[in-house]
Amino acid sequence: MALPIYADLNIPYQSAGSIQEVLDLCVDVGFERVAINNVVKNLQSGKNKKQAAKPQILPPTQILLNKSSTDALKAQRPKFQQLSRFTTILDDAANTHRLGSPEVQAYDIIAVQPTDEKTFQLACSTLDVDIICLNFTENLGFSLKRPLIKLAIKRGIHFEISYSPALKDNSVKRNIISNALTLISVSRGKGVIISSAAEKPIDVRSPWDVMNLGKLFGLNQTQAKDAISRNCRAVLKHAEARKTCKTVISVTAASNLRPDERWILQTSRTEAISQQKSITQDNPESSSEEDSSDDSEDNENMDSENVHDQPERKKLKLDVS
Amino acid sequence: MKCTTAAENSNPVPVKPTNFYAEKTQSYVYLKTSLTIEDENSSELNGNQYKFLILQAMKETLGQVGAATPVDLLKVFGDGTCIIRVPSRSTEKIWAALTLYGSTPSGKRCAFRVIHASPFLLGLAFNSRNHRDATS
Amino acid sequence: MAATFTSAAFNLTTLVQTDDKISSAISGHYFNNALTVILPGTNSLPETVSECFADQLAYQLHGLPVYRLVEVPFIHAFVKNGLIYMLSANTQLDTHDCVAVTPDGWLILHLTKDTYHELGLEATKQTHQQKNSDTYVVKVNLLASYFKPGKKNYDSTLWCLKNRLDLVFDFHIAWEPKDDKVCSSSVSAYFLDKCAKVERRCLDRRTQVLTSLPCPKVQADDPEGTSGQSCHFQEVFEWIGAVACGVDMTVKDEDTSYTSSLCCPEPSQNCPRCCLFQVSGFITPGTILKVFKALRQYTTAHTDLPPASLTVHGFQDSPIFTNNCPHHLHICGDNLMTFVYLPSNQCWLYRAVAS
Repeated sequence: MALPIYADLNIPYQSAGSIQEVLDLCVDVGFERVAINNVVKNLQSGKNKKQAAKPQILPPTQILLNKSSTDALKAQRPKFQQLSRFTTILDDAANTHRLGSPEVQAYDIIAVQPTDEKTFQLACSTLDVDIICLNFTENLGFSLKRPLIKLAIKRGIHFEISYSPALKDNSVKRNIISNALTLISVSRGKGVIISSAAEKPIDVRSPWDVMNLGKLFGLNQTQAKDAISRNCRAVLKHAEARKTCKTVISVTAASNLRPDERWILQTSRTEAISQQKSITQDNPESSSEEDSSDDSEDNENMDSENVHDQPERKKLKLDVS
Repeated sequence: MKCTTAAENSNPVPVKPTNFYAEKTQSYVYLKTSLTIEDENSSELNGNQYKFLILQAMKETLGQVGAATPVDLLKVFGDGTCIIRVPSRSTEKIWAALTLYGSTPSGKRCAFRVIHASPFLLGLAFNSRNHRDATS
Repeated sequence: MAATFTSAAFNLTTLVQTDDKISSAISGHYFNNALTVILPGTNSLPETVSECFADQLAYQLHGLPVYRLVEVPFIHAFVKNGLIYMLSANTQLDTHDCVAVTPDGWLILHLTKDTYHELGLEATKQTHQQKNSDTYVVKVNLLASYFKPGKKNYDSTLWCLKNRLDLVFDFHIAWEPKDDKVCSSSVSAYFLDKCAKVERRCLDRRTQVLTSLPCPKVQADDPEGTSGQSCHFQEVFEWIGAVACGVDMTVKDEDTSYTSSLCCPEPSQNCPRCCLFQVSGFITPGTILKVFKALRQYTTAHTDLPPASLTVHGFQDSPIFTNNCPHHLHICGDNLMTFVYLPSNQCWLYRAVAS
């Protein structure tokens, strides 16, 4: 279940103390879902691909806040949710295969920042990512074409506009507004999310401010609100769908169901009881799929098999994106 | 405007005729805004300083023409929040100008954040969402 | 309303103070967050008005499962034998699920898309705005004759609420019993063992005395101020708002007009002292009706003073506002009712709704 709560899907990762300050303010002004963004500039280092020179990717558990701090935030907003997001800059179309690696897939949301027309086309048409962010602070250098953007939106990918750089410099402000206007006129206001990219608490604005900013960028009333609520929820759903491969049906072990989902089993109770025995055997596969630490290729096959073999345990999920 | 028809049609025999007046557009929008200035206590700002910053913000993003829109600073509260009245036609632009205002003329980072917006000034008197803050 | 708000309705009805419409307007406005009383000519609130709040009891229930609200003992004891007001607390209408029980016996579930699809209860027809924001409203008539255990509808509703999703909310609750001998606190006793915590919600009262306040002149039969002898009703409404927010409205000289050009609408009269009383909490329509009558008594005794007013502030996040109209929230969910007491038994009723 994902509520369309106000979300800010881009809080750059920094030391825990300063990120705590930013999140405190985010929660205070009304955001309930935040994603901490780990930006790794370059996935592959140079031409001599030495193992040691590969940039390290922190596991998401390290960038997220610890439990005691999130509990404090939850006391203020019970529905508070933090997510991990991984962003990389695409400057070479050949450098994309590491996006599928387990350490990247461990993140909740994956985003890429294309730098030229070629990588932009790649990101829109083939890459399995959730968000495409563009460097709006300067002239893009290539034109945003409607067919590509339409394709990306069709694939459930969202485009991100970050506003906080606009607060620092007047020429950057102009660039961001004009690039955002272009993006929104090309995408007709669909598939856009607005986030802060706030490094300091002073960069955070309230959800209503962001909505109004969306209107300045050319979104209409509803689209502006969707840009921080419904579209962000769709990003999450898209990320979830990415992990469980492209499907509207996902399979989990019955023992992994949350208490509020147990009713699913009751539709065929007798079968459910007989399933109880086999659950223990199935457990390892399904839990590894949850963590998605295995190669996704193998799981894909396994999932489709499971669907055919054990129809009792399939859980219908609605396609949202 | 469901209320319109309801009030006109129901109860056909009042003691005196019931008259009904509706106003389709409100000429102003009221914004309850908080101002934070880095390393400075914004609660010490007086009305004139506050208004100066609002005009600066408008000038920076909207230029001279935009800054000519009449904006009234109705009230400054002790905690750095204030109530601003803007003509409803240009609300969107002025609000965005406030949002995008990043630093004061003296170079300090600052932030205008709108807490509550309403077409009615009375609406700003209470905020039912802040209940928890009020009780705790 | 060009840009900022999706809709804003504002209107004025001129009535006689004894009109039935007034009581029906008040009792149709179920979930009230606050009252503002502006009473010129006095330093303190009359006893008769403050007494009205004496038997107003409201509670906050923490962590109450929603299925408790369709259980038979609850329906029999409280929904049938009184007026029950329940509204989920700390939930936001636009982004969360909201639940309300209205005194006419409806359980209203205002649900977001996911919750609705997983819950399995049928929603009423969506309005255009609900479609746009993906919200669904499920209405359950708790008083319907077919709504009892053993019937299919009841059983499936109870099962869905109980087993499917863990729907647990905090609630504001108040109850006005039909029978005078029953205490309205029994509702808190009933829920004591059914939820995590029951808390008494106290009212937060503030009284202020304003001195030399400029008041607009108002004529009951000329709300639009065409004769020049009185103010336009919209200006009067803004003035009431300004007083409620504590805005200074003395006539500006050149220095002070830099910050604000708002001043009291003309023609005006000076009121040497004026009492501003504001109370917030979970206030039932029954109490408001008492306040309305007490104020009427007071104002008919003091006709020479500038008009007094009573404003009812509804909860922004209430799924319905007056008379079961669905309420929608976009940027602000202000829903207000203001009564202005005028001489010779006249009364103005403002209604203002924005989203």
